[in-house]
Amino acid sequence: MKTTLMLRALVTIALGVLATGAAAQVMPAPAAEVPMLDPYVPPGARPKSLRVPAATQGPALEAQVERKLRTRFEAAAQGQPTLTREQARAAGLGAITREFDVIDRSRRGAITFEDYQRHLQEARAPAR
Amino acid sequence: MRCGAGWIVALALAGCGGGGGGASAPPVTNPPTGNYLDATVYSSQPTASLSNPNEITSITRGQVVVGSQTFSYTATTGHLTSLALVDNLPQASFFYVAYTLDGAAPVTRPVTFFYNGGPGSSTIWLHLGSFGPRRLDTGEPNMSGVAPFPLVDNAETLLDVSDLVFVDAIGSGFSQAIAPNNNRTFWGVDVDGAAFRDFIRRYVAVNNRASSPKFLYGESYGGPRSAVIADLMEAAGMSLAGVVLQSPALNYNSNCGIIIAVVSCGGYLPTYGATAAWFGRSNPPATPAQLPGFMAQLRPLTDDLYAPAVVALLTTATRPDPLLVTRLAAVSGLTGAQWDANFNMPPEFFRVNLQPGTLSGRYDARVTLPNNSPPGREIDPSDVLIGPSFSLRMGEYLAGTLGYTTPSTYTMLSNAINFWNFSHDGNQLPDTVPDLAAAMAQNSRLKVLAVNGYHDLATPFHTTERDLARLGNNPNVRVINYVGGHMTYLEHSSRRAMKADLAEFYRSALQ
Repeated sequence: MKTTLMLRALVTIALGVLATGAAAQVMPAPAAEVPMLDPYVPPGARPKSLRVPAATQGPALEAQVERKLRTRFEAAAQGQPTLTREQARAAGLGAITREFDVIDRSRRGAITFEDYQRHLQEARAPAR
Repeated sequence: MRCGAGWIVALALAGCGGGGGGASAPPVTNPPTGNYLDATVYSSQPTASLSNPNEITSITRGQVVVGSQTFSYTATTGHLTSLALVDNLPQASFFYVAYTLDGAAPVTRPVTFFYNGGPGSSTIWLHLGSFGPRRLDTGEPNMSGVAPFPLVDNAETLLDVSDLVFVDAIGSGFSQAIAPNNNRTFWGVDVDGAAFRDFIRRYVAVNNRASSPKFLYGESYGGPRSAVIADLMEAAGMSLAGVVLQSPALNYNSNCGIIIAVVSCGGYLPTYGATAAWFGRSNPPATPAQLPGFMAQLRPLTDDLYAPAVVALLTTATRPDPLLVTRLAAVSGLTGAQWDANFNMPPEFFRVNLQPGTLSGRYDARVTLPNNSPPGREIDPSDVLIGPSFSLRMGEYLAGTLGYTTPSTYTMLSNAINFWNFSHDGNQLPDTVPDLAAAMAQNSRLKVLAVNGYHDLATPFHTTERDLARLGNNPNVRVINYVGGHMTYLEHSSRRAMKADLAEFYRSALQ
């Protein structure tokens, strides 16, 4: 793609000096530092060899979601197979902290990722 | 980039970095003032960090008429210090303007957080262009008025539906990192999302809005930012009611206008057709009223024929069927030879060649100027014709109406994009559809609305449709397209239609 980085000509710097009525304070006009290109990836930030990930859907997307949630859960559990309420709180997992007693059906004081997963699936059930 | 090496005319930045040193003391929330001269020097430089953030705000009152009803509101302008989720250390001083309806019960009153994208953009476009109580009247797409365009009362403000908080990303507007962090600390997909989450947490805590229904409204890169924030907020236990995606770039790997060569431009075809129709160059022709029907023809042409043919060309160098090329030429207003030579048709080629000698806009392809740009350095008419007015009016509005003044320069768009860490979830460029899916997995009630323009050559509407289709047939996800460009709200008829659709979206999300 042709680079449009040189679009700097379009950048708008209104150098008018604006004064407030009350404070009579000189306030510089807003300014832009680069061309307005959104979304954009500058040439210098582009991967030399882009690996285009699959546009996941269905089971593949669900697996990605599970990985995200599991990674977060396991990081909070610090290598242990179960997570305590205090660990969830310390990791900033506020939703698990708040609903811990509901998730922890067996009242063990510690939950597995599967406990958490089941809790989310039940919340999605149409019966709600 | 070295500090201060940007070409910006930084009129009043006293020095590089805007301060240093540690910031171990928690921020102090001072009483608001009616008119605040903030002497703090803010900088957008990558290495800039604040040592003494403040949370003083200017409080002003306003009124806006929606329908036949007058709404009185309070505008709060200033900074809030975001605190890290786990250790509560100060992270960044976010500049924001909050419009809250007077007399409403905060417990049930929705609150919506708005931000643009870039990355590196301030929220000037949504703040002064979309659904705040005042808006810039650009007259898009004809722009027959005289610039600078006026700031007028906004009869389509969302203030009758929700409180509105417009917040600038770190390193834009007057938002800046707090030492020992610097702006660059937060210039990446994940750290930026976490910082926005923590601003929202702070706003909610300071203003007792824990039980208020919460909405996000992000534009362009603000779309993927919203997906990341939504996932992080749900995990943090702060549930959202809804997410509005304004012309989002949810998956950087599905938009060839962001990065071409191996990425398909398939999603652009309907936008090419809509633009050609606008200029009377499509076959079949289509008036704006007939656009939905025309687009209903172009979606299957894209999904069943064109996009697969692009994939075949990119992966196995298979040349396209000449009959397909002939059809593409007809619907897009280009020639068969142009399609043969540029079968994976990039938007930059289209906007230069649809009408020889005339340049179409990237953000709004209907806005044109004579093409006097050197090849490869084309300006965007739809940007250059409105940018100076936004800049000028923001300066006037902050100081004159909102009562907030500072010697610093409000950074409309910082250089952050040149430092941005785009990697996310193991991908080199972000695909945030899984983040949105994760947010919805954690909150089954979360509703998502994507609003797009038929004539947007930056984030084509059908690419967004294809991205969101990955979520399956989910009744909580809806896409609505309007006549207009990236900023559909700039056009009167589309803004009115959007307001009605948004009000309905809020109603459904609050049930």
